[in-house]
Amino acid sequence: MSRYIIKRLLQMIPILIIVAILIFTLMYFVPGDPVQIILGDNATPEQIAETEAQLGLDQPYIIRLGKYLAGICHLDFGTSYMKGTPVGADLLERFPNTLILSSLSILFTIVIGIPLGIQCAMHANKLTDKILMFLTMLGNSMPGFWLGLLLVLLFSVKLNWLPSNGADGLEYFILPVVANSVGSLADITRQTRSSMLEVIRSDYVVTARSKGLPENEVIWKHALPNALIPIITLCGSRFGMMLGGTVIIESVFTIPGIGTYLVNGINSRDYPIVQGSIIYIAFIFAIIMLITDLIYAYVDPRIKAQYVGGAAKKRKVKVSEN
Amino acid sequence: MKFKRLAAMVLAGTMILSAAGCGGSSDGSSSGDSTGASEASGTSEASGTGSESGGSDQAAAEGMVDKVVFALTASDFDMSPFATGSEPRNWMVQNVYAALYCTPFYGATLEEMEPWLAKSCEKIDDLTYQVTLYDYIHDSKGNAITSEDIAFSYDMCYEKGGDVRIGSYLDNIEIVDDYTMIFHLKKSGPGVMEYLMGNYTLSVCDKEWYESSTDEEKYNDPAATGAYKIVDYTQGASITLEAVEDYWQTDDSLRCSADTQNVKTIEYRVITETSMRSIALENGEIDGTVIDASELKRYYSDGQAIDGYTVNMAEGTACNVVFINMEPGEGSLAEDENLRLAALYALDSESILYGGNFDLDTGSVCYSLGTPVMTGYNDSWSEDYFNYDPDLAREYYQASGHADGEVTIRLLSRTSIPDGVHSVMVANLEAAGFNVELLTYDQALFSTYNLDPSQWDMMLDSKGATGNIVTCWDNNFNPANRNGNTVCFTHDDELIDLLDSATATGSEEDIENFHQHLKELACVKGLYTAKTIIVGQDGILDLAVNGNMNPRVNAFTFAEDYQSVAQ
Repeated sequence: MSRYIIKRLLQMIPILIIVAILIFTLMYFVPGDPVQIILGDNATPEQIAETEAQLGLDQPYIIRLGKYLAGICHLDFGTSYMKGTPVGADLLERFPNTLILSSLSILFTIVIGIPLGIQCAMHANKLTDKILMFLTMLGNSMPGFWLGLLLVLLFSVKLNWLPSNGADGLEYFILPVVANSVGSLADITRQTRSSMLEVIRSDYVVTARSKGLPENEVIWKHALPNALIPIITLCGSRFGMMLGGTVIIESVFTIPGIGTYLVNGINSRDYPIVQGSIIYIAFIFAIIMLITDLIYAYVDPRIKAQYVGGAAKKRKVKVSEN
Repeated sequence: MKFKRLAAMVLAGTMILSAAGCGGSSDGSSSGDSTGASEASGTSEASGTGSESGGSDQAAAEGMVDKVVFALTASDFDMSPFATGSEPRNWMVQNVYAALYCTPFYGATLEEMEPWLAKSCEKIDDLTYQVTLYDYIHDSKGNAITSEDIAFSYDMCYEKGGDVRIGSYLDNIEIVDDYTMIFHLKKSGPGVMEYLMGNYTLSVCDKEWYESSTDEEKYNDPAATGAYKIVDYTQGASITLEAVEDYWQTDDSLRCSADTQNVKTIEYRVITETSMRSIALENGEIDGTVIDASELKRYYSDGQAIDGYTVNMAEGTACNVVFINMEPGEGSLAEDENLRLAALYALDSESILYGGNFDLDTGSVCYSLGTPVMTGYNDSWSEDYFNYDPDLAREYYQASGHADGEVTIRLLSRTSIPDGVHSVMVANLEAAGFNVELLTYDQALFSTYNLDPSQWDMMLDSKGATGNIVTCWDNNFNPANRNGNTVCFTHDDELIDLLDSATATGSEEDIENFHQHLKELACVKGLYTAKTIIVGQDGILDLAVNGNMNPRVNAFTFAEDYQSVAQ
């Protein structure tokens, strides 16, 4: 298993290098001059040339790319053109807010979504199922920022229970988490329902029931573990996306996270911010996918056997060669 | 077994989440209070130590408010010395960094400006001024400020790109002694010394401190020459300034509007969404903020602030103007005066103002390139400056000999301009017979394309200046200030000569001559200017603004019994 993890971690290196090259090239060709934004319309050609030289923008593409990649190898993501601060430090400063928002959102999604999906599957095509499916469709169709504003109007303005913006404590995250989770919650509920519907008609579930096992045990112990794989996949990708920054939610609730940092960087053509943020997102996504794969193995012994089996086979081949 | 463990973990997670949720909501009213409570605890913590508590009492005794929370409209700013300007920085820069003089109101002349770091500024000749500093200036870290630091600060501000205009005005600063300097100018004229002395982009700081400090220190804890220092900065969320206790200017009679310390602690909180700023204000989470005109009706009715709020609508210092590209060979408008006149007469400035969600309370129609609050602006210009006349616009269009829809105008604008403004402009121009291609870009692309004559025929841009209309004209029509071109790509020597005269003398006659010539070229039309709307909680008696019409929170005045949201 540890071999598998190491292999996956090593595989991430070329992925990150390719992402770095792609985003660097994209930003190189994107129109819009950061120097013009910094200096404004009244800059002289000499000032423009001087600032370009200071920022290293006067050098050819290949040299800039080389320097950038060399910097990344030393975990140096460059310095923001506009603010003059190191991008790596900025990302680290904003990461906790994004992590709290994403973790609570995915937790909320899982804790509510999976039981709801099971209920839907257990009462398929009955009133409970129909009501819940209608609500999930509503949740899917409702933009997070709009729901966020409604929540603020109710809980902050009318009831005065919760703060409307900021990230100064756990209570500040309640409304953003709910607004951020509703879309995912609806997806997870629907996915759980559909996976469970496939599983609960399986022979082993029928057998378990015929053995007289209590329904809860049948569902939670026999059916759910076998229905979890697609749900975990969905949760993993959702969590990865959330950790990449939920721009609109961060913006509505004024949470200084990665998403707003990236968008501000794009708007001001602050190349180091954009490149650093994208590499961060790629890294986080790769890590989340790895964790997702490990959870597969934890949940499904067949998958674990494949991971371990691969290594065992290789060992066998070596032994037989010897 | 494993499943049990998993289920237990999920249940534990649920409990934590529920506890968190209940913690927030079960308090009910207390949760709302929880915001207030956390602020209050912050205050009590601040006054927890003997000295701070004493400071607090002393502050109260002097009519100083303990803490004010004011919302910023943008999250990206840098308060280190010589950083690039941004809206939040422009609000706060003179809290943290002193200038030589303070501009008490928009358009103040050198005689009207208040000495700050400089004790005096004497004119030797048109291009030479002697500036004398107080000999007891020190920053918040105790470093003495001398002439060398001032010269260094001006040089750095120009070199680092914080203010490129310094270079076009200032030749050099000659250091006579520790507290005396001679400013040698490149050009003289109205607004030049005012700009250099009361510069809003300048950050005077100690040379030695700057050279020895780390980037981290410059960013989070700069040595302040102003009346406030940064005590806490959470990137993208908030910045807290605290009045410098041992501020160098100890003689109250020598203090200016910029170094007033009416508030002990100012917390600037970032809330970028305009509706969320309004909600935070109504919810009692902030003491004040700047709002958009579309939000004004929540706080202002029948010409006055509604109960519970104070409103200040400061005159706009930037005018939204349309420019016509005059580069030969770049579109029909440049070649044909009839088409330019048709386009300018077609634009209904008042409707465009309303299209931008403004009205005559929150904005005003402007004429020419400049706003009515600028020194040198002539009110009589409003009588005849391509005033909206759709029939005349049609006549000019027909006189150009083009069929309807045959002439396409590529209208360059920014995404930050309200859509309603674009809609009215497009409708106006189409009614005159033009076909309009609207090109709206983000700030980055706009900054690039507006300098390229092949990209647009007509451009909508916001143009301002610090007080004097000739400065505004100089910024836009002096090729030396715009990479060899004028904003409209005019190639007209007479215009440049008239501009030189107007910027050199600032006389009514020279201003009028330039204005008339610009009008004859038919390449510029002012549309509207928007006011800066500042709203505060009831009990803030005066929402003061600085010389750039931005909120000057340290100079707000408060009722004796004012309770900040932080309390």
